[in-house]
Amino acid sequence: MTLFKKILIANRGEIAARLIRACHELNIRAVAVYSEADANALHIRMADESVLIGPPAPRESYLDMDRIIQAAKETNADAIHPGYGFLSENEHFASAVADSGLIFIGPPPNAIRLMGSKTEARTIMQSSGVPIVPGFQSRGDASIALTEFAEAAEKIGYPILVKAAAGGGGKGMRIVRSASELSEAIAAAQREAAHAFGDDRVFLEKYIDSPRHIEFQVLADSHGSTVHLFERECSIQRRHQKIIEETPSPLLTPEMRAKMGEAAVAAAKAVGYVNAGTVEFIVDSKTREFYFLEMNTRLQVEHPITEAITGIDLAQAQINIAAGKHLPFKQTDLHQRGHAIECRVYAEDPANDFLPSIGKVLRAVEPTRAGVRVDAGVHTGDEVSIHYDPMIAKVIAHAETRDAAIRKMDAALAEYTLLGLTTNIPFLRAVITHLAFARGDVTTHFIEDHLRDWNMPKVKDELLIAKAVVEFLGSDHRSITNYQLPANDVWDATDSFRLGAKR
Amino acid sequence: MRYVYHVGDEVKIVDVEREGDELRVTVDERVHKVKAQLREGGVTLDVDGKRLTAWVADNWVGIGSAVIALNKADKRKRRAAGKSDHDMLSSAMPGQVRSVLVSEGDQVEKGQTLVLLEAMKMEIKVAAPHAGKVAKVLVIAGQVVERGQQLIEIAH
Repeated sequence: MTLFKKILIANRGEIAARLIRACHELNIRAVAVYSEADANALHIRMADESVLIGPPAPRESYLDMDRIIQAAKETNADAIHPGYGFLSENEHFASAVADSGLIFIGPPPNAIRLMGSKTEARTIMQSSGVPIVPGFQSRGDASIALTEFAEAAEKIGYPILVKAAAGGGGKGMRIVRSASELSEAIAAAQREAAHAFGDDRVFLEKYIDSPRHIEFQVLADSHGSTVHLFERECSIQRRHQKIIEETPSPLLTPEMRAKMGEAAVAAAKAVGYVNAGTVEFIVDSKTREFYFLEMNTRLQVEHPITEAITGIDLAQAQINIAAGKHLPFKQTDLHQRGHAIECRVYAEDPANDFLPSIGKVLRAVEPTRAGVRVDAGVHTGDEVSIHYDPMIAKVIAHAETRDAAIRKMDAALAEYTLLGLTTNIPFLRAVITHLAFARGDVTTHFIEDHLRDWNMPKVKDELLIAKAVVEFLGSDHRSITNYQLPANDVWDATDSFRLGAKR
Repeated sequence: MRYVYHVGDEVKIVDVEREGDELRVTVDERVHKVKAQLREGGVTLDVDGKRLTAWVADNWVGIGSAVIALNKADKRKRRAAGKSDHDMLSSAMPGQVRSVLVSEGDQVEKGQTLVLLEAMKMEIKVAAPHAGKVAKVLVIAGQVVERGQQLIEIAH
């Protein structure tokens, strides 16, 4: 038994749904919060109770700390789980939750603060012997003069990355290839950072050629035990955001894995980390050197692949750790079993620069297969609006080998129907069935190297036939009975649903 | 019956006729033998002996992950790309206008950022395709725009 009876989930979308499931599996009641845009959203339908916290704009709802804590008080919740994004890496929120007598399901505020400032984190890692990428960081909070940035950029050498000090998920990040692009990139990064994180500080970092993004999951309890749950390879990215992750990484040898795992545990310990976190490394594919990138002090989007290969439920582990329990395993108890891949389904148009698409989900049909998990944030009838992240679902496939996991993923994606908005599913299939992906030859440049000119597949006749036939039969119900398929078929539905009868 | 659909810039013509117990469906001169049974949310098909389950809602149709929006011919008015000494810049995505950085009458450089758009926490800039004069500003900061909505007109 945990000491929690009720947990408030301060998030929305698929992660809120996933966390509500975790609560229910632990026999804990879940309180959801929602903005006016989400009154009918999936997480509201799943929760035991829900509280309206404000208008659609995140600043006025999902980022409103006082209102969320008030909602937790009103509903007598014992703890708040922040999910990812929104307030999950906000040390002030973690402190405010604790100050109000509630438990924050996540790391201590100080660990969030140290790791949340990419610049402080770099300093700490440097002094703990964890390798870091050459870069330039602000001294103090004052905004740095452009000339100082320009000088530093020259010293590091172009291309460089401009990154938000408080950032994550590629937001507020810009690649700058020459000095003439620097000032606008810094301004844009600052704007995006201010908007996304309420903190406009940015820093510069050397841009590594052929980089791979490999991260380690860590879990630490409040009794001094810290373990890692191996790596996740997250090199397939578009616009600096991950779209496909897998574990184990096709690159790592057991020796590299052990070394990086130790570095990840050391990084967590250096800041007194408790709960689930992820230490991200950038690995140079040519030299195989690895560098500390940042630590995400929260549950990651891609946590399910680690759950698949370790058999450990990370969301439940987070709740148990926050309740003061000991980790029930040691490092030597942990093993990687099989291979797992995650594909992120985005409401976006991969043939139009991956720009967001919005709309009502007119029909969602998820794949159902052994070894396939779908964590979706929308079902039939749900709206995808301009207010929130375009990631609407995750498909996770787990199999004995990497090849089998790839095949299983492709079969699952092929079965996933989402009508009403454009999604990246056909693009995800193009990536995982690409020969370079099959070889495990992935870098963060994979998409620009291999799929730059990708276009939506040609429209199959079958789609046109289906649409025309529905219109044809719908306008003449006599034909519904006339064109019945043979009765011994497995097709189940027999009702007289009429589509396209009136347009 | 003839059905005409627009797929992107393509026009697709589909003819459906009865032929005994079956349907004869012609797509761009390719003839298919089809059996069909409507079901909730879609149709179960036998196309030339191959079984398929399709989902249909409004103008959307999907078979597994192959999904497309088919627009009716008459619903879509495409203005012929005539010659003009003005360029209309439109929004590449649905979103909100974060800021408008120019006013009517302004002289702008090629590549200069004119409008900042934001959707789903992402910011994109609308830049001038060439140097010229801002002829019209059709949006204001804070306004919600659709994909394809006109934003700014630039004269050569």
